[in-house]
Amino acid sequence: MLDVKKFDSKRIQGFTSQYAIYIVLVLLVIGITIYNPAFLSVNSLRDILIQSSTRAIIALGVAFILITAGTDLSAGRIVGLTAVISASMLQNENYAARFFPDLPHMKLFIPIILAILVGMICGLVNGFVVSKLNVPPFIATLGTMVAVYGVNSLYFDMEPNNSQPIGGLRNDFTDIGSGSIGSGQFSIPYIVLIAIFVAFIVWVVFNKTKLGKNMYAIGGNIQAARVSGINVAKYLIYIYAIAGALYGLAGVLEASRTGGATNNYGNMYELDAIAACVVGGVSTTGGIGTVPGVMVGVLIFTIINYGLTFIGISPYWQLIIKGLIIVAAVAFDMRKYANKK
Amino acid sequence: MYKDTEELFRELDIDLKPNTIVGKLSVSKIQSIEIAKAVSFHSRVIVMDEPTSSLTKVEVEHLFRIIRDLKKRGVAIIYISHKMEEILQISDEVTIMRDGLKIGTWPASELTTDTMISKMVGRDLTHRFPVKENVPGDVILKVSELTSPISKSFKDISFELRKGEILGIGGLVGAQRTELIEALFGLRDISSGSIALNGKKVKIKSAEDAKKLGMALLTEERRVTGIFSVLAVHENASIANLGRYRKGFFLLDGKRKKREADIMVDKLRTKTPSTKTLIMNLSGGNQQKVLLARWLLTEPDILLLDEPTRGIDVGAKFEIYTIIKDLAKQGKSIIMISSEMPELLGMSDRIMVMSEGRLTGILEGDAATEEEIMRLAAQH
Repeated sequence: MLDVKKFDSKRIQGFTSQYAIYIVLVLLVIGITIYNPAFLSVNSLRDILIQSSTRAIIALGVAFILITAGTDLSAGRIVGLTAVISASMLQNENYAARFFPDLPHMKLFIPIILAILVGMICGLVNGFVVSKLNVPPFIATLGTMVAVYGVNSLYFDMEPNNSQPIGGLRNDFTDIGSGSIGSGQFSIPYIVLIAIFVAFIVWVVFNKTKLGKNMYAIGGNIQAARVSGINVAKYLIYIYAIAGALYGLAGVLEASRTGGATNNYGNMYELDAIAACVVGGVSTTGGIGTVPGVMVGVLIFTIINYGLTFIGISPYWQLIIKGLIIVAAVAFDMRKYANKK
Repeated sequence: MYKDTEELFRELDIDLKPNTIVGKLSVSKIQSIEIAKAVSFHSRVIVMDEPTSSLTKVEVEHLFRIIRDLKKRGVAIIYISHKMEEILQISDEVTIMRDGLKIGTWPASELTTDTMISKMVGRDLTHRFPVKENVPGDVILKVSELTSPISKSFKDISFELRKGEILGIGGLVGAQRTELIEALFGLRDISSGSIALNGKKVKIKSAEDAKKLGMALLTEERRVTGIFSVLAVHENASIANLGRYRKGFFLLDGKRKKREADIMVDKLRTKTPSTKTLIMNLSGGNQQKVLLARWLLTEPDILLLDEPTRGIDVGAKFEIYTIIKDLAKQGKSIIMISSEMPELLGMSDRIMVMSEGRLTGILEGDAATEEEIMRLAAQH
């Protein structure tokens, strides 16, 4: 029958486009390895995974928003704010330039949870402005991005810190970002495990929960979602809040991994995250995106960074290659769903 | 440019000023502009795809005058429509297609509505509508003096809906029928009046409320407010019913969800390669069945159907009619807006007619005639 043929060709087309990014990833690794076989080592792999970890968590947060057909420009600045907050409360007691000189020793989890909550509140504000005040996400999160940087800079500029980089972080805190399970060649960094765990939880949320299904529905067709009896405003607020919490976690990890923080932490991270999502198959028109896709998108960008530096290609060339990949990915995406409407 | 446009509008008998913003115009006016555009290109062939689907009878007449005028100027017109009466009225030659294949081409004079339908369906349809088997029971929904806050919208609407009844709503475009049922479903505001379900007054502020009260709504604009085009058929079918598949604290029972959706989609005889297929790859009729499945999964007592067979081919139409009559037989109550007279007359137990936001009459289905409905629909 004619019908069947049509669907089959669609399926084949769907197959190649579905796996296109994996093919790009493999080609990238092969290309770099041919150039310098030393690239294929456990050490490079570990470095790539470590560098991908916080990016992956931010990208997963951004993916929530993109799938609802929104966008989030505030991600990077929220990372910066939460990095500063967690770092400011987790310095060694005998460190000379403490942010809060008289702060007593706190249990590790208290500042961490606090930072994540701050991230979540920023997300809540985004969600409220988008869903209740009907401000387009681009503008709503632009406002948050600017204002959060202001808040962070005010905090960072408080006496006695006066905008000095925050350092001297407690070992138990920096261990999260730089420690690992096991030792030597085959050790696994905590931060990689955290990212994998977060990815798993996000995958469950996307695929196995009402919130996930409603997220795809809202992004797929917000009017139809409303008619179907989905409380769109409520779910959008939840989704922005979850994304904010993920940025908060990423900020904590960023401070822990680098052993410090300044108010410029996280600057422009949202653009990397959006790029990784888009390359990973998240549609900017909403309703489409998977966790494995986002993870591969993040890996592709890290490998471009790390691998091309490894074989000595100028960082300027890296930017050009990244730019081309972003545009090509979206052009591909648009072609794929050209008949959507 | 303005002058040329004015000239063009006058030639085509279009009552518009060139500097009007198109977004503020009615569908029929926008369509006239589309036609004017085609004429201004000196097009030799103009393809019109369902040009009358949202036009009133008067507007259709106007469109036909334009078409005849274009014909005189030597323009060929391909006119795609589901409305048999219109096709016979306007065409010289009729080509019938089914499932992507051409069945044949005949001079319009050799065809009748019935012969066209039988060629389209591929079998003889002795009845265009299934037999009535439903028996209306007690009043389930009572609407009293429902009024919209918008002055030109519906006003003082009172009616009753019985269990197992199909209540048709007729009227011309602009009669505010869609607005009325969307307000019943909580999608539009109400300034005064009340809604009582099973004798109890209810407040419906959102579709979520309506759903909880056992109501379902199939909207007129399937693509705009119905389907999630990039999601799979089974996801489309289950989306309104997620609350029932809760497993544990926040997880969903995905297997049961998909199984129940699959069963319902299959029960309505939806043609789809698999329920994992994206709904955008289905025909309009099959999309409509998936949307019906979506709402039937919520086990509603009252279904509000807004032009349920709009843009659907004749074969699938009959299937949808059968489903609707079946639902009524099972005791579900149905409110059905339709702009197609035969559909209103063939399906409804009672027909309520609206004109410019007001209820102008309620007719018993058996006693109603096309003329009477038209008379009420045009009443001011």
